[in-house]
Parts: sequence; C-alpha cells; structure tokens
Amino acid sequence: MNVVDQDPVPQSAFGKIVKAVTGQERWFLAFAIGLQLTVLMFMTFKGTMILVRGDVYYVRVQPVDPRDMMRGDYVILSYEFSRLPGWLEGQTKNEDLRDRPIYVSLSKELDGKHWRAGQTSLKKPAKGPFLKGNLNQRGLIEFGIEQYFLQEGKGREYEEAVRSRRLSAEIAITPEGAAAMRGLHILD
Amino acid sequence: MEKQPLAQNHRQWLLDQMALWRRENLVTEEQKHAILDLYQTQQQSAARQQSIAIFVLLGVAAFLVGLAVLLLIGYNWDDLPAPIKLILVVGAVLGTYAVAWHLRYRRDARTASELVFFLGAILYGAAIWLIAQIFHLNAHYPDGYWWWAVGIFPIALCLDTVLLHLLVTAILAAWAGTEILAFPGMGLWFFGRLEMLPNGCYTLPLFAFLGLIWAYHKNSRATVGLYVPLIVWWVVLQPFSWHFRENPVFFIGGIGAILLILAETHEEGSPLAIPYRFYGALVCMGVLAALSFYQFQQNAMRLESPARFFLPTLLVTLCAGAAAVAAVITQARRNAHEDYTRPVYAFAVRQWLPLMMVALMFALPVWHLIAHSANGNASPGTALLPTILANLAMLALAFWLLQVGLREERGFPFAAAVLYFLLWAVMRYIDLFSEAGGMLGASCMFFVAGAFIFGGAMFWQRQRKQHEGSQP
Repeated sequence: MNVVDQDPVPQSAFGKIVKAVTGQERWFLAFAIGLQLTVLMFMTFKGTMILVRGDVYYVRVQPVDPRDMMRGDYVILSYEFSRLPGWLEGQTKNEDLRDRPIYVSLSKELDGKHWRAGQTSLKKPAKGPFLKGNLNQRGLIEFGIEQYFLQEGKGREYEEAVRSRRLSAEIAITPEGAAAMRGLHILD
Repeated sequence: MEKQPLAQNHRQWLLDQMALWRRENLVTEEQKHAILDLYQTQQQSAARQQSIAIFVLLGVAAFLVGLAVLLLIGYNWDDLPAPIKLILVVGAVLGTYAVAWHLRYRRDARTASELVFFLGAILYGAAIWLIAQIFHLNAHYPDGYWWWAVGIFPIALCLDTVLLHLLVTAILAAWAGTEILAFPGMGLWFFGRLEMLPNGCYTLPLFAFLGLIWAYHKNSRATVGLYVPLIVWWVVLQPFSWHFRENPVFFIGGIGAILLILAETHEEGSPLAIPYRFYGALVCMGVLAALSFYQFQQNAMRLESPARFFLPTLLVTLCAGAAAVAAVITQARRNAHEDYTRPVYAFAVRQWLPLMMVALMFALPVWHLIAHSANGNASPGTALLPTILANLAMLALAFWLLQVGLREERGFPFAAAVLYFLLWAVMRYIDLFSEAGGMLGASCMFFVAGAFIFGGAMFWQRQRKQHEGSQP
C-alpha cells in the first residue's frame, strides 16, 4: 500500500535524488538486499574466523542463567580470569584501562585438560596461549566468550553442573589472543 | 488521471450540491458527470477501504509470521548443526526477498510484494540475532538494532510503505532507548569508543531527517507522523545521555512548544502540520498536567546542581527562539504582497500559545533557581506561583486547541480541548477536595469550569455568525 497522497513534482536537488531512487527501483532494492547480506556474512565471518584459526582450550566457568526474549535460554559465563588483579585495579584511578587491551596468559592445570589464568598484563605476552580482553562497565574483563546459547529448557542442567564444578568451556583462541566459544561441556 | 478517494459523507454532500447546481442551471449534465468522474465511485471507495483493512491485517500477519520464524529457529535445536542453522536463517531472508521480487516484477502484484518485503525486513533483523546466537557472539546488543535499521532503511525509502517506515522508526527508537538508557556510561562509538563524548546515538538524526524530507517530498502525512516522534524521542533522550538528569520536565515541555511552533509554521490547514500539532499538544498536555500539582513543583525545587538543571532549559529555549524566527520569516514571505498587519495578526493568532509555552518553560526553572539560591531549598510558598501558572497554561492550551478546531473546522482538536479541560477539572477537584478548599473550593472550581465551557460555546457561536456574515 503506497503512502503517497499525491504525485509529487520533483524540482529540487532532493527531488532529483528521489526520482533517481524510485526510477531505479530494482537496482536500489538489489543494493539494499546486498547490503543486508553483507552484514549477515560479515557476522558469520567474524563468528567463524576465530573458530577456524584458533586452537582449542578448556577453561572452568561460573554461569548464571538468564533468558533472552529474542533468543531463548542462554548462560552468562564468568571465569576466574574475568576479574582484574589487585595491582591492575589500582591503576584504574590513574589510567583509563577501557581503551587498552588486557592480556591474560593461560597455564595448564594439573589434570592436563583445563587451562587457568597465568599472568595478567597490559603488554602482549611473548608467547601463548593468551587471551586478549577489554574492561567492561562493571569492571570485569571481557574476552568475547561470556555468553552461550542453549536449547530452551537446558539451562537448569547447566546450572546444576556448575554447582558441582563440572562445567567446562571449550574455546578457540587465535595466536593474537582473540577467543570464541566452541561449546559448553558438562563433565562426568 | 488517477481518481481521487472521497469519503462517503463528502460524496453525499457533493451529490446533494450537484442536484442543486443542476436545478439552478449552474452546471450542465456533462459537467456534473465530469466533476463526479474525478473521484472514486462509492464501490471503489468501499473497495479501497476494504483493501486498506486487508493490508493492515496482512501486515500484522506478516509480523507474526516473522516472529514465529525467529522463535522457531531461536529455540536453538541441539540436533541442528551450526552450518544448517546458518543456511536456514540466511535462506529464509533470501527466499522471502526472492518471492517479493517475483511478485513485484513478474506478477505485478505490488501490494503483495510490499507485504513480503516487510516480512523479509523482519526476517533480516531476526537473522542478525540468530547468527549472534549461533556463534555465541558476545556483542554490544544495541548494535544489532542499528544494523537492522541500516539494512532496511533503503527498502523503506524505495518502496515508501507505512509498514516499512513504521518498522524503521520502531527499530531506531528501540536502538536509541537501549543505547542511551541501558549503557549511560559508554562513550560515543566511532570505530571504537570515544569516552570524551557521551553515547548519544548521533546517527539517528541522519536517518530521521532523511526520512522526514522524503515524507515531505512525497507529501505523506502518515510518514511525517512516524519520523517526527522519532526525532522527539531522540531529543528527549539527550539529557539522559549527557547526564543532565536533574529534572527534564521543563526541557520536555520546551520540546512540545517547539513542535507546536513548527506545526503553526506550516501553511494554514496543511495536513503535514497535524503530526507536529498532535505530538506537540500531547507533550505539552502531559508536562502541564504534571506541573499543575503543587507537590510536583515542590519536588522540582529540590535541585542537586543548578547548572545541570538550567542548561537543557536554556538550550531548548534558544532552539525555540530559532524556530519562532523561522516561523516569522515564513509567515512574512507567505504574505509578502499584503499589508504588514495581516501577517502579524495571522502569526499572533496561531503562535500565541506555543510562544507562551516557551516563555513558561523558561520562566518556571528560572523561578525555581532564584527561589533555590535565595532559600537554599524550597520554602512552602515558593511553589505556589508556578503551580498557578501551570494551571492557567492548561486552560490556555485547551482554549488554543478549541481555536484550532474552529479555525480548521476539524473535530479532533476541538474534542481534545474539551477532554483536556475536563481532565483539568477532575484533577483540580481531587486537589481541592482532598487537600485544600474542601467542598466549597471544589464547588467554586466547577463554577469556573462551567463558565469557561459556556464562554467557549459563546465564542464558537460568535465566530460562526461572523463566518456566515462574511459569506457572499
């Protein structure tokens, strides 16, 4: 249903633009659909790039389970290395950490499978593996691995798993420290 | 030439007049038919009404289908691997657009194609959220709204349908709301966060003004009626973004006044003025209703920071001043060939209330500031004068709406005026009956209210007589 109340008579420069757009309707629509596709492809690329390039690590997590109106159940994940270490916390008064990347080195746990936080620093570690994060508004370091979406109704299962410390996140980390979630596992 | 739509009551009036003109031999039978032929027949008008209703229903259906698809995929089936989910999501968007394209350019079914494009636009938004879900992207979620609006805005301009403009404005409003209210501490985003400027969604006016200019160019009142409240919403959010939260009521009242000035800057009777007047009156009504309570005025005087309290008021007053100057220039140009008294009179008749509202929204905070600096905090009597002024302004607004209704011969402003006056009477009845004055005070107030309505009716009658007297 067209909302045009009466036929306009384009005369101004803007009128010429309107005429050009409506005159080339197919091209303009194709452009818009192409733009949408580019956005979706960019998101897909961003999501897959780390998964493809990164190596796999397991880290222990501490979830809570909210629900998103648009996307169903998901868990917000927190890690032992999400908290700023004391010596860095002191610096927030003198230096704005929000603009700077924060690096957390990972070291292997005794079980040989999981990894835990090593040193936290503002300088990129010489060798990996390490995570690269940014300080959020709540004063926690975010690495892009703080959300995991679940099939509806599975949240409780994961909640119970974390209480008994049986939840482990499978993450991919690139050599530059960028991380992405691969999976969330309930350990036996 | 395309036939013009004609409401049934207008058609009946025209037919009656035609019969009279024929009897008086003012028009020939051919001329009568030629005039009637300019307009849609009764059947065509009825069919048009029906198709609008069907279009609205189909639009709602498309919206619900979009939601259903979103929730179906959003269930996040464990059994479906991520690539399959991705193919389903992107395939749904592309498939929908392919159907819309086919309907528009192969079948020439334009209305159906517009509905399917609308469905595609919803699915595109759903796809943004679902791809984030598939890859567990921990992104700043208001960005999803922004990218959604960017993607569908060109389609809204190109197809120019109310449904798509509605979707764009709703998404942009949601974006500004979540970005500013939920993330107040974040800096402006410009390829990274710039902390020196607050997060004020500064790209929204680009969309909104482009949409508004587009709507003007297409002479579409409905589309103007979508972009005007979007701009108002963005402006109202700015004090929150810039952390000027002291008491935004005077700022919001000033915005209402600007809308009324802009409405009255349009040509007399212009349908494009109606959205400005509607939203402006609505905002002013709400603000004045709040300010008309003594208790509210007392709360307004508890200031934390006078500078933060006054600066938004000063800014909005300056903008209102600029709008008033633009209104004067427009009026002068419109009546350039006439004696100066007529444009001045026309300006005064249309703009007295909006300008009074600007003055009030400036004067009240100044009064509160003076009272605050003199007394520290509010003394009980200081809130009385602003309360009385706000009540008088409520009555003035009702009277002005009455004038607009009479001037443009439209029932809606007239009905709004009467309802607003009744609201004022009820509010004051509660005040006077429960707090001060008792039954005698309430009785006095109802006398005044009755006298006001009586005066309004007399005024209307006099205007009508003058109008009839001026007819040749």
